[in-house]
Amino acid sequence: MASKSILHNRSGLTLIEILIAITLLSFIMFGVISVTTDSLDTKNKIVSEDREYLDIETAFARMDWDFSHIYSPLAFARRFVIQEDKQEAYAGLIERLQMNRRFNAIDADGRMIPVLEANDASTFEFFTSGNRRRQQDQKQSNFAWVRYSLGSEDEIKEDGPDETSDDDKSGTKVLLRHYSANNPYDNDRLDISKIKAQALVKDVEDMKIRFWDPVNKKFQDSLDMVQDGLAYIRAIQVEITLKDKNGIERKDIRILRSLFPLKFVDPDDTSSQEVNLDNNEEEVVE
Amino acid sequence: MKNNQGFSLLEVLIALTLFGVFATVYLSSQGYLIGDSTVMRNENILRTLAEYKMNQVILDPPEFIDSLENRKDKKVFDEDIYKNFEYTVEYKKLNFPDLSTMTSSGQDEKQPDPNESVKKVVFEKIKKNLDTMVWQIKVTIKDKTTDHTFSLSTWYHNTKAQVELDIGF
Repeated sequence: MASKSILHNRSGLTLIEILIAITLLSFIMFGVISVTTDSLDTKNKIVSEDREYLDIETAFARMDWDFSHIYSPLAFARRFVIQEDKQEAYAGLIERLQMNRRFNAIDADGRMIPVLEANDASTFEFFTSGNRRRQQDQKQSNFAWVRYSLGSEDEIKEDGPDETSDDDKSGTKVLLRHYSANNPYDNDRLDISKIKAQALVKDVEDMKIRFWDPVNKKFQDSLDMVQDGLAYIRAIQVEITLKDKNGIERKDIRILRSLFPLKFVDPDDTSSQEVNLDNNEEEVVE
Repeated sequence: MKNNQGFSLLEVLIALTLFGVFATVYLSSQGYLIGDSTVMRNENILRTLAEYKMNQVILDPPEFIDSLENRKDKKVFDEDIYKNFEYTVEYKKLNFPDLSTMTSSGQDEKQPDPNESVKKVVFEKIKKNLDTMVWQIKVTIKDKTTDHTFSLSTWYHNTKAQVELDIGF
């Protein structure tokens, strides 16, 4: 009966069979364990890489939102130019505008024109209309001042647990976002760098912001090189270089565009810039 | 409880087969996950590049003339990091249908519309203006190593279009 058929074998396995089975099983287990370890490794790698990727994507998305809502009356109106012979009549206005560091000009309808600032290649401060209130009835409008800049790690260290202090981070910087939506039309430009900044990306090697020059059809390194650049910029090119966990340099270039439609008034057309300001005095004081 | 037969070879084989099937499924799912992640990242790069190119075109648009429709800019990116990506930019006019095709409901109307001719004139003017004003831009990005493509298209309002506002009345 024992040797008739393998299906009717009642004698169980012999020692040698067990040994073979164990050997086979050990091979299989070895394979399974190595596969599991591998997949864990790749998972960790992908997660950490994706985290970096996500960080930079989020930073660009935020920048895009802020910049695409950049606001200046020059997008749709003409600058108000005070003629030589009217200087005296507008003395009060001129003085007020000179004292105002945030808005140093007005348009033909008396709307304030914000001043853009880019003190170095990686800093850009502008006026956005992309603010959204987080709480109902918050005393905020849709306007806000935003500043993007590179700062050192220490600037944000004081709060929150320090997770990555063991790494050698010398030379790398943090992409910071300063945001102020309270009293954006306040005459005294409050020093936005004193507000607690938000760290968008860590380990940034370099960031360059360049400004679109519609006359020469290219991006310029500084605001002064763009015509009327201190008042209105239609697009910027942001280039961020960062080192990933493996020390490999990564570069990202994006173009961010203002969503405001192209204006239909010719900025060079000075024919109708002489406007009676009397009706708009209050707005200016505001 | 009295069974002291042990496993037969067949049972062991069945067990091994089952184990093998599960192991294969597990392994292949791992492979898919990694593959998905890389595909997604590549798609992200393609999308980013398409947006980048589109922004460039919108900022510095070509002159919108009829011959632009036949033009196909096929180039490699200038930037070093994007050397193995190729872009194609195409331009298309808005094809506005005729008034008759838009209004005709299929049946013959009993009495002709007295304003028919006026409508026609106005419509012709609007159509002519829209033809010069509204364009479509399509950007296609191709990864030369994997042959993956991504395309992005948008409407473009040609602000330099000569719009005729004089309807003729």
